[in-house]
Amino acid sequence: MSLNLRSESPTPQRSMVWMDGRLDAETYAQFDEAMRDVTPMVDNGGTLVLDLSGLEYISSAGLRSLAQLRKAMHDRAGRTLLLNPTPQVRKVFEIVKAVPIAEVFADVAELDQYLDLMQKQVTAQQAELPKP
Amino acid sequence: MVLRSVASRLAMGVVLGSAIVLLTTGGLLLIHTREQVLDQTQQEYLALASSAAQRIQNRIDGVGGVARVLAGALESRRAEAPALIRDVLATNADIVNITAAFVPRDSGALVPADAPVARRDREGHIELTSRVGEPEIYWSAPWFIRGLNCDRGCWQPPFRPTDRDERLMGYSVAIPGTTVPVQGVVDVTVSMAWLQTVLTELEKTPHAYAFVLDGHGNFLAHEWMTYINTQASPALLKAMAGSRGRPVRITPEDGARISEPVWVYFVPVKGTDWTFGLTVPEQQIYAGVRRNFMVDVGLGMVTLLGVFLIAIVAARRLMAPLGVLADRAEHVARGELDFALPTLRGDDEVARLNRAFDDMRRQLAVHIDGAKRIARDQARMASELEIARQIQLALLPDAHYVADNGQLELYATLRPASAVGGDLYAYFALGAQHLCVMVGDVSDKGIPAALFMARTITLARTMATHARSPKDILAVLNRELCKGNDTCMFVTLLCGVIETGTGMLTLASAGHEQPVLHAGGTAILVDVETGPALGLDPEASYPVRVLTLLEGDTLLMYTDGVSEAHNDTQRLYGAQALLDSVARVEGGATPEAYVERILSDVDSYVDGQAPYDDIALLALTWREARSEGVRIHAVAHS
Repeated sequence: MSLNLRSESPTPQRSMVWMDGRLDAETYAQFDEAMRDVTPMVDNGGTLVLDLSGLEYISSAGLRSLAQLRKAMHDRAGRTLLLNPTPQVRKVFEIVKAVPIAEVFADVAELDQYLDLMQKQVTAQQAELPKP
Repeated sequence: MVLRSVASRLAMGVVLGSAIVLLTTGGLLLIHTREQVLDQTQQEYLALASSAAQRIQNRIDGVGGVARVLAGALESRRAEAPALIRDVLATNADIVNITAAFVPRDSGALVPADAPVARRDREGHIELTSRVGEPEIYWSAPWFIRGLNCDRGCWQPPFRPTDRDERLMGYSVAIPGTTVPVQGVVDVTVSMAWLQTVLTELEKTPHAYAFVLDGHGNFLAHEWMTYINTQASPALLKAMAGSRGRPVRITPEDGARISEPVWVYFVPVKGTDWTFGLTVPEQQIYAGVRRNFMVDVGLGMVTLLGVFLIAIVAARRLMAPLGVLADRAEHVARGELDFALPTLRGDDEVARLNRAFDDMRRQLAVHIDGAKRIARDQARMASELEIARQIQLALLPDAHYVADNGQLELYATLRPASAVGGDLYAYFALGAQHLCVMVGDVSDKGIPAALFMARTITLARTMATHARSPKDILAVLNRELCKGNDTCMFVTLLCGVIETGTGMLTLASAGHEQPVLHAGGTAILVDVETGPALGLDPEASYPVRVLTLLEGDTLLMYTDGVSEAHNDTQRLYGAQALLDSVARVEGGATPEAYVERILSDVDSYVDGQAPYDDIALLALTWREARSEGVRIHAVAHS
């Protein structure tokens, strides 16, 4: 079994990565390598969305990779959001909680809703700031 | 064996190819030139025949001229006949005799002057006699009658006189008369020997022969003397009739007196009804062609030999370095890489091969060195891993433990998938009344996991000593593991604290599999709400689940090496199979029996597949206090 990746960076604020296959001890290095190319495309404070609908299996090694990716994005004030995991993968997320379950979304609509909310919060914060 | 080397095979190939080309072109050339050669040969023989005929004709013309002049002179000077013929004979050395025979004026009274004849005897003296008085009456003899009718001259048939051993032949011309048309005959007789000489002196190929035929088809002369004066074969006569200046082929089957096919060249002798013939065996005509062929074949052979020698020398010179290279390649096959290579200039294939071979040899030496170094490194790594494995196992407490009061017994095992692994189990006393047990699974496998496991197990032992709740133990452990954890390694951990006297068990989970409880004959999964795995979120907190163990209850803690064991169909062993396995264990069994049972069930499920993940398994059985001895013993130690 192998891992297939496809990425798209329509805007500097947001990149999408589609994952297909297995993310485990044999494939995580390939995933890490691919993400080293994708993450620089996202601006500081941007959002990286991983579409997990094709991901059949994730092992603890895979979880570590996701956690590391999330941490790297977090260090640049960015977010890593996971979209549409299969039930078995979602279950792993729920048990191990290697990534906050709040950052896992069932579908695009849910994700967009979350992102809207985040933007509004940011706008509100900026509105509260005293005008120079 | 001779053809074992590439050089000789190459040379043979070149020779074979050249032979094919030579034979083909030679054959075509021969076919092309054969007609020309044949035509040329035919022309040569025809020319030879023509020249012979011409020579005969010249001679005849001389004789004829003498006879005609005499006949003209005698027309009016009959009386001077003896003197004339005598003088003429004297001036023409090749004439044997001359007769001037006149029709007798009175046949009853012949006078010698009617038919004077001048003869040359053997000594060359000329004597003048007369035909009159000879036994044969001249004026009624056939030659005379024939001569009277030859006013333009004609040849008499050859004859052999009684007094001479040679054949003679007379040329007769009628002597015109003044009052009558014809008054006599001049006959000039020559020896036939000259004709035979013409034939024999002809320069011609062996087995060819010449002949002269008269108008009646008789051989006037023939190189085979016995044929002279005989009739030619009908086949020859027929061929002559159809010749028309071209050579004719006659075979023995045609009825000719020959033993092999021949070509006959007929040339008429002008001024006579004679025909000169030259017979050449067909073999002789083809001899030229055959000789050409043999010369061609010989030259071809010499050429082939030359080509072979050149090819073999050239191939040997070119292939010599290849032989050395083949020899050196055998060295390489034996593992010997230090040897000399031929020095080659130029940029041809062999030189390139030589250079590539040299490069390859160097590269190979480098690779072999590298492989040896890697093998050494691997051996060292393996031995280091073995030591690491010993160290890792030394971090674990004994597999079997019985609490001092005898109410608590546990058995644990750890089975790494490779030399070292990231699974762990641990138990240690918290004060006198509590025992902390934990089973954990570090993310990933191998050396990083083993190091993180060592860190976890060491931290747990040191940090947990003052805590009494798994909630606190996990929280403090989590905070410690989060420090400097840039690689985001994490460990899922199930931690339980049991009060040894009461069997009260407090459980907390950091992202770990749910434990199995075997109680009252049934096996269930204990639902423990999990917190995040340790090492990721320093703020994480861990809820607890409390349950009380009863007599004989056994709690099983394990890692995903058990629940996610899979066989070659990639199907996971699963929690349900684990529950079934546990349920089959008879009540009252020791924890070791549980561990053995589960491991053997997993092993038979995996069915020989290499273990995919580490396995850690811990079974804990609690018993009510029954034995006074044990209780007293326990109190004594509490």
